[in-house]
Amino acid sequence: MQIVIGFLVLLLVALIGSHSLRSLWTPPPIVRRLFDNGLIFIAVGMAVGPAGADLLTPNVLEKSGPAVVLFLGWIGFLFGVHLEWRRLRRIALRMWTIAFGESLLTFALVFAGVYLFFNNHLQFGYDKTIFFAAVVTLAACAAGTAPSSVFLLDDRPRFTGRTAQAMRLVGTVDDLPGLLIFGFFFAFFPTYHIGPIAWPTGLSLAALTLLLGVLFGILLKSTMLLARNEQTVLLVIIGVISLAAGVAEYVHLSAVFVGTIAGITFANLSGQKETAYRVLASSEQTIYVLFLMLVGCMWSLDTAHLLPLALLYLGLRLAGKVLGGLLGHRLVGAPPGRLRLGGLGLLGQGGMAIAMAINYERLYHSPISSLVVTTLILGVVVNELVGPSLASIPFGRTPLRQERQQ
Amino acid sequence: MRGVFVFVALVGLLYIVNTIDATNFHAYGDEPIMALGFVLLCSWLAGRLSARLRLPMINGYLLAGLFFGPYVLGALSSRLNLLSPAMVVQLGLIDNMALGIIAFAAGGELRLHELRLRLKTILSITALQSLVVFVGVLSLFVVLAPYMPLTADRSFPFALAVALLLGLSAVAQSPASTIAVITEMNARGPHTTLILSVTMLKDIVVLIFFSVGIIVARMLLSPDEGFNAKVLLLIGWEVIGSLGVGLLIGSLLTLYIRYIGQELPVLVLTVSYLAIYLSNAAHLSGILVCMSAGFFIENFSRHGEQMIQAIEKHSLPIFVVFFTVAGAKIDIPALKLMGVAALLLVASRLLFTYMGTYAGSKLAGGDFLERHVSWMGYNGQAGLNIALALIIERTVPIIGGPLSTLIIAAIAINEIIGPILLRQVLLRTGEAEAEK
Repeated sequence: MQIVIGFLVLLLVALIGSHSLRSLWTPPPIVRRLFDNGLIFIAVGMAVGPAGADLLTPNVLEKSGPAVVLFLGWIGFLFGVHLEWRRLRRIALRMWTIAFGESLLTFALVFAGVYLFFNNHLQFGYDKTIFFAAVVTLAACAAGTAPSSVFLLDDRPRFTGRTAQAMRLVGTVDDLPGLLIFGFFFAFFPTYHIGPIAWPTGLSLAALTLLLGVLFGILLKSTMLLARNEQTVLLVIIGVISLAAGVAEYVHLSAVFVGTIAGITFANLSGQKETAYRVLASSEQTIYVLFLMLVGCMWSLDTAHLLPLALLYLGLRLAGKVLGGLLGHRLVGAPPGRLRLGGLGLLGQGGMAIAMAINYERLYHSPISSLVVTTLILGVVVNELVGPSLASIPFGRTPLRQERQQ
Repeated sequence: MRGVFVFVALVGLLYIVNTIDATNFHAYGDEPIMALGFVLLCSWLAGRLSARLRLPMINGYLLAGLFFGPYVLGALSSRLNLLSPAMVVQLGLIDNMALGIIAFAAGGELRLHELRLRLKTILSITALQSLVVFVGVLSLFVVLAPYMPLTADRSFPFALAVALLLGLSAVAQSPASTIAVITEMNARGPHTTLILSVTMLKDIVVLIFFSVGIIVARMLLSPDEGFNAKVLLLIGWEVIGSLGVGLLIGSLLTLYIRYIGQELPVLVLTVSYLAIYLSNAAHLSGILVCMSAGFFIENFSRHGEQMIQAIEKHSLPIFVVFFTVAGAKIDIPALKLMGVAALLLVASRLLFTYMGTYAGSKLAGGDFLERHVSWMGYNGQAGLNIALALIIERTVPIIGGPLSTLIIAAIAINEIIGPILLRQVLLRTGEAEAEK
């Protein structure tokens, strides 16, 4: 109970403090970005968590388990509900190649680098599940891009034409390859089994993952038809997402992935997706504020190997995105020049990366899971801070910033 | 038909999930969140069904809780025991939040200009209803003392103490179910305001007289125990302190809405939870704190509507879980044990509530509906009353156990019939927007 109370007090302080500060003070752009994307709440969580003032004990995540599971399902669902085939099928195959190529390239680079790092520096003994869970999570999180970070490039002078079109698609869907690998990993490397499980069992668990997602998508579609107003729509969405995420975790599958499949199913079957999306969007900020604060509490700076792993992760991800951007530049046929470095506009990481990290931490909890999660949070923060500045290289600065500098 | 299909699918899913689990390992949180999802969907469907049967939706939530609770489905199959007592405790965390927002909304519904117009009626009904119900139930149970298993072969002071506590418990009412039905039916008008105001005022009356009643009962049972004047100070602190803290919270929230105004739903939910929790720790009445905060924002700022909207936007899931958990807590064994006595208590409470309301209304010059119909709006009992029963059990241990079982059994009945009767009042007075 004290944890709940402590957390709520902090939430109040964070809410009132951040908004008051914002209205009284115009921060520099780099800090403003922290406010705009909500990362300030991670900072608040860090400040009061074990890494900071230690006001909240390390078991805060465990005690706030039900809320975290709901958030995981919610974030997965929110991602999935954007993937409506009717809209996506209009996109040319070449664009898909760019999006998935960039994502898979980043995944492969991070996977290989982290695999070698862990193999050489950490002792895992015979437990391959713990080993691969850490590597796959880091690689899957690295592969994606936050859609909001790409949409923020809209006011850049060189962010136009086919390059912009390709980048927007990349931002929308490049989480998918990593998420698919991450989601199916739970089926083939279950938490309760040392090493990979037998193929037939793994396949049946993979099928169960998909089946659960589809079933909950259909359940939401059916139940939404009974909802008459936005209040009941919200109730139905929370109910189905809670159930989907809870069932997924109960059978040791990924709540984020099942939520995503449910979102995709719902988006492609239901005629009420606009209503659902409106309700989701209206509550999105509330959910993210709570989620990011909880995530901040998990920050653990005293983890061994953090600095080398974080540098490796950031470097490999940067390399993956830049190489992916080069591939995309060639496939799009954009004019030569700085636009070749368009991958620098894909550094932003958002809720999906954090959700996958937390999902991993909950089910594959081990001595190194704290290292992995802290690395990922650090990666998200660094990428959010430096991403916009690096994006200026290919796409130029926003007119407002140019004016200010003049 | 679709609702039935979804309901059956959910129960089937629950059964299958419980059969396929092959390991003992669980990360904390999967079961409560699964239960939450299940409760939200099934109870909401039960609420819809209840509305189709022309009953308040909260009866559907309560009955769903009872059905999925430990005494019905849980007793039939361990695989379907979703709302186990442990789970009810975990979901009960929502209780504080629900009570807080209910009280906020109630305060927001009390408009000063309307209260001024009907002040005489509100005061006379509150006073006479409380008095008649208390004296009536007390007298009845004193007279019936030789025939009641609880008091037969006991001394007169013992019987008087039991009757006194039963009388006090009969005066108490549930603001939560009253607000929930009024919100559900979107009711607005003089009778609605009257019912709400009297319910809230009775909350204060109960707060004061219950504390005094406990002292008197203890003195009757143990004549050596002297009168403790400190209790009166505590009561004063509880009432005046609650109103003061509520006004302070209301003014701070007004400032927040005026100067910042963002993420209002999160803020109101958080403040509600904290206010209820911290009030309990500081011996204040959480309901009174939130109610006076809501009252302040509605009447002394321009942001009342904004606050009500922020509450309504996210309140339905919280209400559904709150009343479902309340349903799961309905004590069937207590009802079996004390069924006849509980029925007698409920019936006498109904009769004396009618008499008290009639007398109060007549004194204030009320119309026919107010005198003969409005009494039906004052019968719901729920969480607050259970809390009072538990206080009796703890503070008067000589009779506390069986007496609280009897009170809880009566609450179980009132919990179901209270909303049904209130709905009838709102329909017959024509103030229910949902029906217009």
